Amino acid sequence: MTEPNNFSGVERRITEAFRSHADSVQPSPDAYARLARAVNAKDAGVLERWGFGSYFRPVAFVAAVLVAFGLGGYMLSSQGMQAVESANGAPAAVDPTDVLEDPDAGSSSAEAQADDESQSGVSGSLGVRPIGPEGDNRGAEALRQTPSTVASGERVESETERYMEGLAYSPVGKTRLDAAEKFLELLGVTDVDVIETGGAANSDSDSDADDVSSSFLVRTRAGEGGDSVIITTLSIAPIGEGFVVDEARSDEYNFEFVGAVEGELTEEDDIFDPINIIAATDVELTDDDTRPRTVTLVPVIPPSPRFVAEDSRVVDHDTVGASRVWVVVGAEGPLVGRSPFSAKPAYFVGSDDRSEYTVFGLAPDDDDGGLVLRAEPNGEPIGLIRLGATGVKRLTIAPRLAGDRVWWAVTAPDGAQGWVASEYLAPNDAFDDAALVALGSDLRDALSGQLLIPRVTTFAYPVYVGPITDPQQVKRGLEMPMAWSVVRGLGQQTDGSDDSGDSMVRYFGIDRWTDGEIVVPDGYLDPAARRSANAYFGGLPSIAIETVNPDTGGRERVHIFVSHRGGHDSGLAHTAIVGIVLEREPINKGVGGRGEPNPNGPVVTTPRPKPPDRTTVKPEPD
Amino acid sequence: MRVVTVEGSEGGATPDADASSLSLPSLYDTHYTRMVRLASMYVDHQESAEEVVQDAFVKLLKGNYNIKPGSEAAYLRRMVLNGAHSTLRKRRVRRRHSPQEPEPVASAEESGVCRSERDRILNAVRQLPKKQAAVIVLRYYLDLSEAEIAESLGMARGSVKSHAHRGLRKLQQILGDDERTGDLPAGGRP
Repeated sequence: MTEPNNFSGVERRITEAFRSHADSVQPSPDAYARLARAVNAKDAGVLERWGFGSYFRPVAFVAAVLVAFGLGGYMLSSQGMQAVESANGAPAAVDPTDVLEDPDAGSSSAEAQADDESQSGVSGSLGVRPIGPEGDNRGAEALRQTPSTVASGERVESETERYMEGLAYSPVGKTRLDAAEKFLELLGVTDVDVIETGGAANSDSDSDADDVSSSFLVRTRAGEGGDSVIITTLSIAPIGEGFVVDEARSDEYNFEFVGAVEGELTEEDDIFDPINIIAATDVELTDDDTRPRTVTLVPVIPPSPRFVAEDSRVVDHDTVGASRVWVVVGAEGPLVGRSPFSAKPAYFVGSDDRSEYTVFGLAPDDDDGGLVLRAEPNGEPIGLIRLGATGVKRLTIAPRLAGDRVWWAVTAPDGAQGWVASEYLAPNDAFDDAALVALGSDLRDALSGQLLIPRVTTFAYPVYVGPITDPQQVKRGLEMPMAWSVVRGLGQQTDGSDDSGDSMVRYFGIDRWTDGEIVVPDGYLDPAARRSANAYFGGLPSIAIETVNPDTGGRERVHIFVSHRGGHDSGLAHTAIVGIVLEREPINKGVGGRGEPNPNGPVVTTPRPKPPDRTTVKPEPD
Repeated sequence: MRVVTVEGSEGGATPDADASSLSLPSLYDTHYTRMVRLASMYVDHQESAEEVVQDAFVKLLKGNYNIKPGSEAAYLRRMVLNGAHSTLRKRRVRRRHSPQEPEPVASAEESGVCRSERDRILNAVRQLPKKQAAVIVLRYYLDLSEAEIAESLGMARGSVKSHAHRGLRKLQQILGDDERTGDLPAGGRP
């Protein structure tokens, strides 16, 4: 748990009560025998109840007739034939995460389905809907040709059947799916299939606010080769019925959409403010809050120079075309693959993609010296596209998953064609200055004598990466005051609409660091942490500020990732904060919240210099 | 093809721990007691808890799942939690329509200060919304990691955190915890 330990008393009591209760519970002596009988008798029991029970004989008869006729028609259909064929083969191994919302999801049994529905409160909660022109059959084709990386064909068929059944009498489900579809359209995501993987409505008193949310898989339609990949997942929740801030800022979401309410902000409305949403804690709207709203969707892409304000869309009830406005509260990267950053292609999927891309995010001393062009996804190298090269064009071929990465088919600036890892491509227009002179340059060089003007082009986003394992040497001199300039400047990046000038500071806990110290790490020693950080920030340099969190007693560190534009001698050096990683030591749960001692010993640090007056560091105007 | 092994259907045969991972004996040996205890956190009758677990076992063994080795526990946990909630819901409906149904009463031997405190906490947990209760139980009883809880409940890790936070806060309110160390400052990062 990365939760700060404010509940040590109640945690202790719960733990003790649970343990005491557990000790008092022992299985009954005949438990195994009864269980074995139940397993053996299950099928017979069903037959007895439904086939031969006197009450149900008429029902069974009618059902048998209907099934006979229905099955006959079904068998004549191509889907039926495929179902029969697929039933003859052993299903592919399914990862539990593929089952997603409920283990029952993969079952075709009526009982499992009924159980599922009764618990979720929603009928037909699983479904597939292709998005695209009417009559476009590629989505259906994709369903039949889904590769094993996505799901088994049998399961998709089952989902489709269940969804179509559910849709007929489940306006709730339809509305949710419509909302998701609409959002994707607004984002320009086309030629994808949207699969509802879970969702629930309030159906009884023990449901909680999140039960009204719904989640979807978004995946490409099958290309010529029959490939289809999961691009991202999407979660939505209706405004006014339990939109929960915490849901919207999960560490795992690589991008999300938050809304801004027009007009005067109230405490409840704070969650829709693009600044305050990340400062608010656990705010929920009440059920009766049904005021019409205009919501500005602001993509918050943690590390991304790809973020451009123009991506904002205005959505209102009319735009969405539903009785509710749904807010996308989160979207995850590919279910397969480590880098959530690579989910970004969701924006660019589709045959209308005419964008050109820039190679970025590679360390300048990368062994390859650029982005490797390969003959096949994750295949043999056939060329190299240098760091900073612009004009890389995507081919209209569906992306593929290979080696935990999403691969795009591209045409390199020199005309060569092949596959590249998509996470190192950003649209050309994501950068003000196409000459990405120092995207990978060493921050320490940038800090040597130039005034840093923080220019935040996106909201940085804290991501828990892993335990601290890399105490590093401290660079002295001007670095530290400059670093603090960056940090304080970051705190001034607000929407200018109110006095929340330090909301970013509060959010990132910068104020907590007043007794902290600054380190300039060379990188993560922990491979997993390094991989995660690089996935987000592509090896950009960072400043780290480290201290002990007084709330938890644990050691924490904030890494501020910076990209630098302009040469030192040009006098126009600009450094933009492109991301923040919040790193925490493992903290003992329960008892007092004291952190484990750093296994690597104390971090070499120097005392923090007095931070400059906040008013002396002005963010550059947009 | 998965093979389901059922042994000792009569006479309380001893489970065979060496059987394949999806055989009843090994599943029973490894998970049954733990799952009964888990279910009993929700339902206040042990008999009901065992029924819930039994249903989950039957569903797992007879259902058309293709489960990767080592994932049985996650499936079982999910099924048990769903079953327990379903039982609770049905019971609530029954009580609404037949208010005379008595609440379970602790025996004289079971009563006492410790039992009272424990029941108070368990009842408080049962009052929590479904997901919050599930997260709290998995976290503080089964001691599962955030990732394991997320897998078991089919939710994102961030949701696990938020449910845990809200659940603890609600429990604190219900239990009137005087050891509370204070809420997060307004707008502070959790």
